[in-house]
Formats: sequence, structure tokens, C-alpha cells
Amino acid sequence: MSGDADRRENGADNEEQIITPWEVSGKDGGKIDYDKLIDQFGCQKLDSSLVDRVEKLTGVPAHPFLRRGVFFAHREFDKILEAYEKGEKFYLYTGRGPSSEALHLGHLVPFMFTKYLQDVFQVPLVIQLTDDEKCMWKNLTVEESQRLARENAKDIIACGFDITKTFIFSDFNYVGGAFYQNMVRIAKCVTLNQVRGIFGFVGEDHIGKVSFPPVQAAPSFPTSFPHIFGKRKDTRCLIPCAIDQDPYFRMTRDVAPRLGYHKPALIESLFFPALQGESGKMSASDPNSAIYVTDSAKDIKNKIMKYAFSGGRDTVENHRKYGANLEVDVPVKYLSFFLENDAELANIKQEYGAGRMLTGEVKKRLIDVLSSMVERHRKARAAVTEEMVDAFMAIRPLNILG
Amino acid sequence: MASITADEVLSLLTERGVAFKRYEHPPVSTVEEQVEYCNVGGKGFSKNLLLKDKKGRIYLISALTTTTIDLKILSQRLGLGKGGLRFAPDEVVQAVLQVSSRCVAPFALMNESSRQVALLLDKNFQTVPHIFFHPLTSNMTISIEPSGLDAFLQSIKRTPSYVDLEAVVAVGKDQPPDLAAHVPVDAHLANDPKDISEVLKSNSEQLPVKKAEATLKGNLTMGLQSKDKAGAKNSYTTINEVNIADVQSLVSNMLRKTVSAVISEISVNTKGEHLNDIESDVARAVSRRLSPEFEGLVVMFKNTAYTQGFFAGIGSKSLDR
Repeated sequence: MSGDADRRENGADNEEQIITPWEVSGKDGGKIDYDKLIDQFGCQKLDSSLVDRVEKLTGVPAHPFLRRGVFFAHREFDKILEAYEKGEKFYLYTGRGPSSEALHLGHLVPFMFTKYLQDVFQVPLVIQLTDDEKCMWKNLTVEESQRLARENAKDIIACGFDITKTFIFSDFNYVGGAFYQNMVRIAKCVTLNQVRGIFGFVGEDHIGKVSFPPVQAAPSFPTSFPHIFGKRKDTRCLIPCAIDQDPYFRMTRDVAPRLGYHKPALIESLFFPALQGESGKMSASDPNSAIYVTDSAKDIKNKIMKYAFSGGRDTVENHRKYGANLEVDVPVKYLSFFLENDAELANIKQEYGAGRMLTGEVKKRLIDVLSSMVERHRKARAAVTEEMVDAFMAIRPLNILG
Repeated sequence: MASITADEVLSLLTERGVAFKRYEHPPVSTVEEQVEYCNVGGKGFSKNLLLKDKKGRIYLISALTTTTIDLKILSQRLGLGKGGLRFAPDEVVQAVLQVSSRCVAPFALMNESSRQVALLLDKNFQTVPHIFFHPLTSNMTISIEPSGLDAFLQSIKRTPSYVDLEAVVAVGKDQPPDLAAHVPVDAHLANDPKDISEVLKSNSEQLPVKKAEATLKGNLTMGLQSKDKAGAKNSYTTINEVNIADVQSLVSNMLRKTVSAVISEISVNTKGEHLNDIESDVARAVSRRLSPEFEGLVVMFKNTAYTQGFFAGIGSKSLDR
């Protein structure tokens, strides 16, 4: 589900920016215009009043991703909060397309945010591993995609989800029963023309792809998980995801009322920038385009120093004079994601932008932050046993009362 | 498999190094007769009752003759309602324990046929030097030490668990059945985790999961000291309670206590009372530094413990014991 950009040749140059679950590119190869995207998709901007409301409801400061606009758009998140205020619990749904064994920091972002949501709202969570999708789109064997799903599950678990409230499942294992019944109900509501329009399928695409969208839609409905929700149809669903997944859920929201369910709410994030900046693209084939959770402290230092695109000027004099270009500086962007301390981040932006702080300093701070993050993740990952994965993926009741 | 004989019981005990004393006498049908023939006083003699509930599940209660057993209360404590427990008829005793109802004893659990029998042991067994049982025949009595009973049970892969049989526990909405965990599960259980949900659904009356959880929270809540609130009347509702299952509040509580202890130690050592003023600032700073890491560790601990419990649960239901 994370935006693994998969370039499809469209022939002409990008007149418009293209955001689909399989392609992410800005206009003329430049940066993404998120405001335009919100208009294009028809979702809402997540403003500070909603952030304040979350803080009031949960009693703790909001997650940095929320405060700093990493999660910047939503659909009906306010309805979720309204219902929660009245004592109505909801559940979280997120997922990952296990296309590679190595996860990078960008992949972790939705999971880190989802963990925060689970902790502060004390709600159950389902995590879908779309091994079938990757088998189809990346042409992996069934066995390989299943293996990757399990490996990715370990990294996901390492993010710190509470097993008493979390169900992880892979499509190859779980599709069937009540879940499949919902898939068929959903499929009956969407025409071939519609999926062509939404997802860009063409005549040469194999039928597996065409019939995949209901698989990603079904977890939005509580009856897909009878072992968790029983026969309840009215439990609301909130989906934290990257904004390129919006098309799946536009389709799902359209179908939901026809099937008697609440429309799933969404809370959507920006794309995680590649190390090389706007012109770079994060790609599994280029290990220097991202920081991986398996990188050593030395790798991290090397990658940041050598490849992180800097907004600093070419000479120290120019830098002192003009200050850094914060718009394109990748280290500052990464710090905006991962540096917890608001005051320190603001200070860095101010000093660096004014030219008083140098690129080297900013990069060094980033290296510290990322190294400790990756180290903590690695330790947590080492504590995840095969049995723990089995337990997370076992069909069992969850603690849904908080 | 043929029923276990007295000789086999004695062989097993010898094999396991369990010391016992044997008393041979004419066949007896009552405990009074048994006590008289053994002629060592009445202390430590056992009464062994085989009981059945409405669903056909079998319970063996083994207790000192001096322990009062109230079937009505026990029935409620097991979650079987008020009149849920009856004495098992003789045919059932014979079929399940392979022994006459006059000489029932925990040794009968060596039989295959008694696999699904739940065993409740009187905790008063641990207060006597020796316990007297029939070794599956009414013309003999043996006495073993309480530790010998444990060793025997472990050798037949049963976990000895002792219960206060005389406790009067008022089962109601605030007090779930405290012995519910002893109720045996259905024998035809598959090992496939997919079936667990079926089992859990059918066992939901026996194992009130949500209620059990609530008890866990209640029993382990720690009231924090509050400067302005007097003690709360109900530990579930205090806003300062620490829910032991909640990672964040547990870590927060532990860090705060640590900081407090460190500050008082330093104050004592440096005779600086003013350090108490900075305690809350230090607590905040330490929390900022350590909370994420500790919360990560604690949630992993919780997940690990849950996983172990999950598989222990599956394993204990497995057919090959």
C-alpha cells in the first residue's frame, strides 16, 4: 500500500501531475503540488482545529506527523472524532504491499503514525499484507510473495503494535469466508469501466489486476473480520495511508452506503522524499535512494553525507549570505519527519535558513536521529520470533473494548 | 487400555522416588472404616468426589475429610450456575476412573479414560505431613507427603493446582467465577488455530474472557498517590489508577517512581532539600528521553508474554498429553 512508484510509460510529458497507487510524479518531473492534489482528489485539508481536537480528546500532545502536516489530508476524520466523543469506538486499517524484503524509512511512516493512533485512541487495528497484489504486479511467485509478507510482518511488528489489539493478515492466507463474501458484494457494485477510469487498467492487463481492488476495499468493513467484530456492521473504520492510495478508498466509499456500511474515513500523508530530492525517485534497485532499516550506522552516515540532497549553497560565503533553500533541502525535510523536539526543529530551520548553521551540522544531527531510530527498530525486530508472527496472524478475538 | 491396578500405582510412585507407607486391610466402603483400620489417627485422610456438570464434564475433587465442600458454591465458582454440579453416578465413576466409587483417588487419573477430568485439589493438603489415599483398591491405603502428590501428578503430566475449596466466593457481576479456568474443554478440539475461534465462542460461558481481563486489571491496579483525592471507593474507577496492561501508563509510572527515588537519594546524600523542586522538571526531561525506548521494550515484552501464553493455551488443549 505504500507508494512504491512503478513507472508506466504514458508517452507524452507530464502536463499534469500523476498520482496513482502505481505511479507518483510531479508536473514536468518537478515537485508535487499537494494543494492541487487535494482539489483533484476531492479530499479535505487537515487543519489545525482538527489537530487540537485530537489533542483534547486524547489528552496527550499530537504526534509530530500530525502537528507538522505530514498527515495533511483526510476524508471524514472529523466524523470519526465526533463519534469517538460520543463513546463510539472505531477500528484502524492499514497495510503494506510486500514487494521487497528491505523496508526503508518511508515505509515506516504510516506504521509509526498508526501505532500512535492505536495508542492514543485505544482501538483495534487490522493490517493487510497484499502479497497477492505484489505477486501480480511485480510478477513474483506466490511462495516468494508470501515469504516477503512474513518478513515484512516482522518489521511491522517491530514498530510496537499491541498484539491484544492488532490482527495482521496476508491475502493469500486470509481471503475466504466472510472476507470473500464482502469482496464479491463490493465487486458487484463496481463496473469494468469504473476500474479502468480509477486505476487506468487497459485491455492488455491480466484479469487478476482488474479483480484486485475489492481485496483492498474489503478490510474497510467490520464484517470482513467476524472473529473480531462478530456481526456488527456499524463499527467505523479509519484508514491511515499515503495519499496515492486514495483511489482505492474513493471506490470503497462509493460502494459502502450501498452495502449498508459506514464509509471508511481516511487520513492521508505526503510522500516521503527520496534522498536525492525531487528529481530522485526511491527505488528498490538503488540502495542509495533511501535509508533502510537494515542500514548500519556507518551506512546511514555515508548515505546522508554523500547522497542527501542539500539546500545549502555552493560556498560557505554564499551560504552565510543567502541561507539554505529549505524548500529542497532533504535533511531538513527528514528532520521534520523524525526530530521529535519541536523547538529544536524550529531552531534548525531558522538558523539554517538564515545561513548561520551549515549543512554539515544539519546532516550530523540527522544522522544521530536516524541512527538511534534504526537501532531501536533493529533491536525490536530482533525480539520478534516466528511464534510472535504466528500469534499476530492467528485468527483470534481481539481486545476491542480498549 | 486396561484399567490401572494398585500395583501399577505403587510401581509408578517407586519409580518416581515418591516415598509412601502402605496399610493393608479388609475392603472398606467408608472413610471411617479406613481410618479405623489404619489406626494412625484421622489426620490427613482424603475424601475424593467425582462430580459431573450439566454438559457432561467431569471433575475430581480431592480434599481432606475435614474440609467442608459446598457443591452449590463450587458450582458457581466454576461458572456453572447454582445447581450445576452433581455427584457422578457409579457407572460414570467406573467408566471414567476405572475404579469403584469407594476407592476414588487422584491415582485414577493415570487411566486414558480420565484425560478430560478436571482435578481440583484441596489447598489444605499442604498443611498436613501425610495424605492418605486408596491406591485404586479398597483393601489398601497408602500415605504420601504432599510433595509426593505433586511429583505423582507431574509424572502423569498434570499440573498440581491447589484451591481453597472452603472459600465462600460470592459470584456476581463484580466477581466472576474464580475457578472457571478449571472447567475442562471439549475433547474433540482440533489443533488448527482457525478452529480456536469456534472453541472460544462455545467456551465463552466457561471462560469469560472480558470479565477475566477486568479482574486482572482490577487485581493488579496500583493506586498512585494523589495529593488532592482521598482514596477511591472502587479501584476500577480511580483516575489515578495504573492499568497494568497499558504500556504507556506503566512506563510513565515506572519512570516517575525512578526519578523520585533518585532525587530523594541525591537529596539525602547532598542534604539538598531544594532538589525536590526540580523533581517534576527532571521527571519530564527523563520521560522525554526514555519513554519511547522503554515503551518499545515494554510492548515487546507484552507481545512476547502474550505469544507464549497463546501457544501454551493451544498446547494445553492438544490431544497428545
